[in-house]
Amino acid sequence: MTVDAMTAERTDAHLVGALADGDRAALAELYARHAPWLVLRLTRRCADPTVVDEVVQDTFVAVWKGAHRWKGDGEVAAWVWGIGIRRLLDALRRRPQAALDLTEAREGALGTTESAEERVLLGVEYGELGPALDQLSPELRAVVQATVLDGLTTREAGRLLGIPSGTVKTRMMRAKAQLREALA
Amino acid sequence: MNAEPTAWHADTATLRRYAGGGLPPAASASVEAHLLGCAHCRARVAEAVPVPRLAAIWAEVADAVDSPRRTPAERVLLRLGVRDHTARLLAATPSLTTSWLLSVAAALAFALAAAQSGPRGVLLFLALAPVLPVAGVALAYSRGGDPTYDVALAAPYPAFRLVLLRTAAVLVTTLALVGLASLALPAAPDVAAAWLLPALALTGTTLALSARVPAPAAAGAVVALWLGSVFTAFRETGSPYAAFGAVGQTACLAAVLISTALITGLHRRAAFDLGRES
Repeated sequence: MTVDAMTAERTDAHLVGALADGDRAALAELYARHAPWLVLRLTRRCADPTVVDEVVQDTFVAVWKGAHRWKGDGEVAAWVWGIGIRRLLDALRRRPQAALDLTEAREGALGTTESAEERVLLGVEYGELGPALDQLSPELRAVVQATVLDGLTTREAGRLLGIPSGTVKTRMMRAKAQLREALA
Repeated sequence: MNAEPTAWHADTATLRRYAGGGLPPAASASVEAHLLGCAHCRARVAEAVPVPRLAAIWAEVADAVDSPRRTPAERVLLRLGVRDHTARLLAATPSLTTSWLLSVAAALAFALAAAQSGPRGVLLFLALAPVLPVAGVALAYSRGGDPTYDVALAAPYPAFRLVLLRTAAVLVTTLALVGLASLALPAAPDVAAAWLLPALALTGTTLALSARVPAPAAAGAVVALWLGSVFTAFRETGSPYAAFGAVGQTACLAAVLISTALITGLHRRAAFDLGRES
């Protein structure tokens, strides 16, 4: 039998491998490791906590059932996120009234003095991408975030943001142009 | 991004602002990218999510994961309008598993192949066919074969109804297979259908006996008696279908009626206890 100490030492990859063999303790451990950040990251894309909770639940059930589909390379977290963001899309399609806070203006995005760690995070020392991104309008930034950072297709991004995919494309083009200008 | 632990970690204030939603978009994106590859920072940011919330979601996950998956047989039964607990009991019958049905099909295929060689082969098929449902019924109530045996002993479910339900299920599936196979039998229709009454007789007798002795023993005795009489009749008359003539069929019909009466009587006296006394 698996003792807790052993479970704690297993890597994410081992845990996903164990899921395929029906190891419930492995699922509990994966949940403990990955549910919290998933809750936070989803909350940044969907303001309704009920929807977020539901999506997190769906995601881990899908992880349990689809463990055999994990290819075994790369980060388990990235795989979990890939499932999570698509479950969010499904949930939003079921109830389109769920509010997105993606386009919501983020307070303090501009004008506040950046702390040293933010400068590191943003890589300001090496380029102007961070501030340039922050200077995009919320609509354009949302498109960049959904397609570039979340890795969604144009159609998926459109569904997430509640806009036609044609609009996603034009906004992406405008965002690129603006970023190019800012970085020039 | 790879699995190597990075020396760099987001500092606590940044993570706190990220969790609170107050971090600027580009910095948030940066944190999110880092979190995908850094277990250390994932663990630190986890503190921002209330434990009760995580526990509530986990309870739902565990619930969804623990409810056993429905087998194909169970789904078919549910679609036919069988209530779900009955469907589960039926689907848990060992003689309804794919492996059992496959072995029945294999036995029938061999018997059919033998039947192509002539009347003796047909006799083999006719002698074997009634044994299959008996074996299925015996398997359904044997301690070793039934994964729900202990559950069935303790369940507040009428044992008799369970016995009948499972017998019916075994009979329907097995007889359907035998019936299909008998279509390919190189014999006249009356000969090709001659196994049906013996099958019912053997199954009924096994059931009636299993109120007194363990089902496998009852089945063994009934099958031995059956095969003995078939081959004795064959040897004495020289005709392969001797046991399947009017006398044989009448005897089988009588056995069906008597065993049905016995089973009903035993039910009234609540003797069908699946061994709850022993």
